[in-house]
Amino acid sequence: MLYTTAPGGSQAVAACSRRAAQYGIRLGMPLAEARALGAPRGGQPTAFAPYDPQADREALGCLAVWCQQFSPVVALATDEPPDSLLLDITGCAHLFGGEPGLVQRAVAELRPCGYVARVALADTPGAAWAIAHYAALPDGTAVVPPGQQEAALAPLPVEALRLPADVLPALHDLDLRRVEQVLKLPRATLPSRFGPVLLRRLDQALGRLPEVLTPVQPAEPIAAEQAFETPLASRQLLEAVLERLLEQVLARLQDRERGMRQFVVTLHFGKQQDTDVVVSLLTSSDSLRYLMHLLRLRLDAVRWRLAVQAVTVSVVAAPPLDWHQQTLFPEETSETERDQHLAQLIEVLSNRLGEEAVVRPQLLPDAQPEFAYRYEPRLRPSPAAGSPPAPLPLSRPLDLKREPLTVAVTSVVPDGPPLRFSWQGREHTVAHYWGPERIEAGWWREREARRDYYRVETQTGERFWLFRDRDSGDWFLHGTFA
Amino acid sequence: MTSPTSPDDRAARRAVVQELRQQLQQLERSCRRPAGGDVLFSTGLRRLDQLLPGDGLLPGSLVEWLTADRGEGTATLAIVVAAQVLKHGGALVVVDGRGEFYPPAAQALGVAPERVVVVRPRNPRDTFWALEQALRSSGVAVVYGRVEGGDALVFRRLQLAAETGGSLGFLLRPATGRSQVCWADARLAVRAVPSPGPARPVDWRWRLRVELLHGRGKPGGDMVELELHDEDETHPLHLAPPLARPALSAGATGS
Repeated sequence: MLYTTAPGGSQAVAACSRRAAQYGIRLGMPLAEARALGAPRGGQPTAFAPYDPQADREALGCLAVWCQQFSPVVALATDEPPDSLLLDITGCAHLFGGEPGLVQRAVAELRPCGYVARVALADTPGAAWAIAHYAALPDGTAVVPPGQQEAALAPLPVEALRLPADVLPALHDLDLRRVEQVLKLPRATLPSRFGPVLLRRLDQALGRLPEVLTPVQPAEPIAAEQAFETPLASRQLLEAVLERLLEQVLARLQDRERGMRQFVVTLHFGKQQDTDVVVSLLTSSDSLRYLMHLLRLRLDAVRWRLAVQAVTVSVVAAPPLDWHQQTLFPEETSETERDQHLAQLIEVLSNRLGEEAVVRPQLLPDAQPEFAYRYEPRLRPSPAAGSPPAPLPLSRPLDLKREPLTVAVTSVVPDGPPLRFSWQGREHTVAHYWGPERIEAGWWREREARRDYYRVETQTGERFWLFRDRDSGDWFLHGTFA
Repeated sequence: MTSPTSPDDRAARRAVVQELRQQLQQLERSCRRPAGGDVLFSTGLRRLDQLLPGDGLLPGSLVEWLTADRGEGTATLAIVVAAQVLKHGGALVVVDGRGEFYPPAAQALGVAPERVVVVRPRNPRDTFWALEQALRSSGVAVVYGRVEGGDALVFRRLQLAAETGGSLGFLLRPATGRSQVCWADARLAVRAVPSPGPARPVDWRWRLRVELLHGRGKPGGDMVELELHDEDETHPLHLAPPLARPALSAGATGS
């Protein structure tokens, strides 16, 4: 996996996996160069995706809440890019068998989640941050004994002090590379030579200045519930109750100027398993009527025979509402209004037919025709990747069969063009043909495709797309120019 | 009817038929909805526009394309025309119950994939429901779908939905739909014309014959021949009147 970012228009590598690094891909390398290196012969090709710092931050926020199992105070480090969590473990270590036990436990618990963590434990957040980022940690963990942070910090580079970008060049100009060199300088001269930040960071790391951590607050779940004395079998009554619950939830969201983008209605059947009905939207909405409409569509697709004992409405995603300026001439349908209507259509279709049934085509640079596109649910955010260049007009059929269909074909020469073929019980005589277009692709998939494609026109003027499998010699009909 | 008819009789009958036809046309014209009726979309070819009732595509109406579904170019022509309509903004909703719609080909015909919403219903009931929802939405420029079955009532519903939303509906129907009442503004049949020339041509011209089977306020039977080709650099595909190449077409059948 490899991510790219766009500083100043050009695209460069922002992060890459170990395998990509083995192929020779380095951080900061131009994207084109990385793409060339990313698919070596015989190796697995590298996947490319745009770099999204906001998503990183959100994921780290989720991880912070997860880390509250180790300590009630978990804070996000303020550095860029956000990659560290600070835990205040005062009074917590004995629950995990001492400090080393806690550190080992954290690494072990994070590994199944797919995270490789570097964990350092010290008296101060500054020292722990420095050691986790810059010290050599053979097993990914380090515990600095109480009061030893000065000795632990001394051999580290000055970058470990969490300094702003403008202070570092000044230190480097004076050949101050290590923390111990900075520590030897007269303390009184530091602020005037390098600004107040250096001394503050140094004191924070060594414990001379206190550093306050702002703990991450998990979002308060918003939900409403209703239990029934006698189980409910009527759909109408259930809808009335759901409408009231939705109203309650919306009233709580309204105070925060938020709407719902996704909510779950859980139907409880007592001893039987609960049923979750998920309603998803493209943009957040606070309209009770509209949300009820979507919920009814969703309920149409759910089958249940038992009486409902209780229902819960819980909000999954509640982003702030989008505000749109009113147009001066409302009779003119503006482009944004059109987009809103389209978004509503997608929401209605997706909730009734399922999110996999309402999709956007994503074209892929794959030579094998059936893999030249992929469908992505419209409800999920667009990956915003560019499309490969379009094939030539009329070079691909508008109707591509799900699977190539075997057809009996007569051709004069062994590797020549088709002359006659029968399909749907009719005999077709080829009058014109274009080709062969040789497609060899998919050696990395289970079955390599080695095909000679012909576009043919029959005597009646109809056009088909046939190919001969070059391994077996069999002919297939892959599409019709319908 | 076996008795021989005199020329006078025949002339009188023709006059009556003519009069009835005119009345019918007037009736049909008057029930055309006035709102939005002044903006017409072009198909990209004047000759094809002239074939259609009202000399163009009227937003908020249906066009039925009867198709033999045998590679005769109906769907291709419908998508080429849809690409022309999409130039004025909006999205294309493709209701694809068979799962055979091929987006790369649509892109090659001039439809940008990011403006396409593909809907894949699992049964005919959902297909008609999705078509109706899409036609009713004013965020959609063209709704394109293959339909099988469905009675006149269903198509009347679709037509009303299109009127509400102001979008264009391109419905591809099997040729058996020909006997049904037509609620669409135009019912077209497309046939491929065998190409002249050598067995291995150099270019990709494709000649199609479009027949108006039924038009609202316009008698059916009119026909136009056009050609799809890719010679214009500015458009991925172009509709053009066929070149007069009588010598070639006469000698081509034997080659």
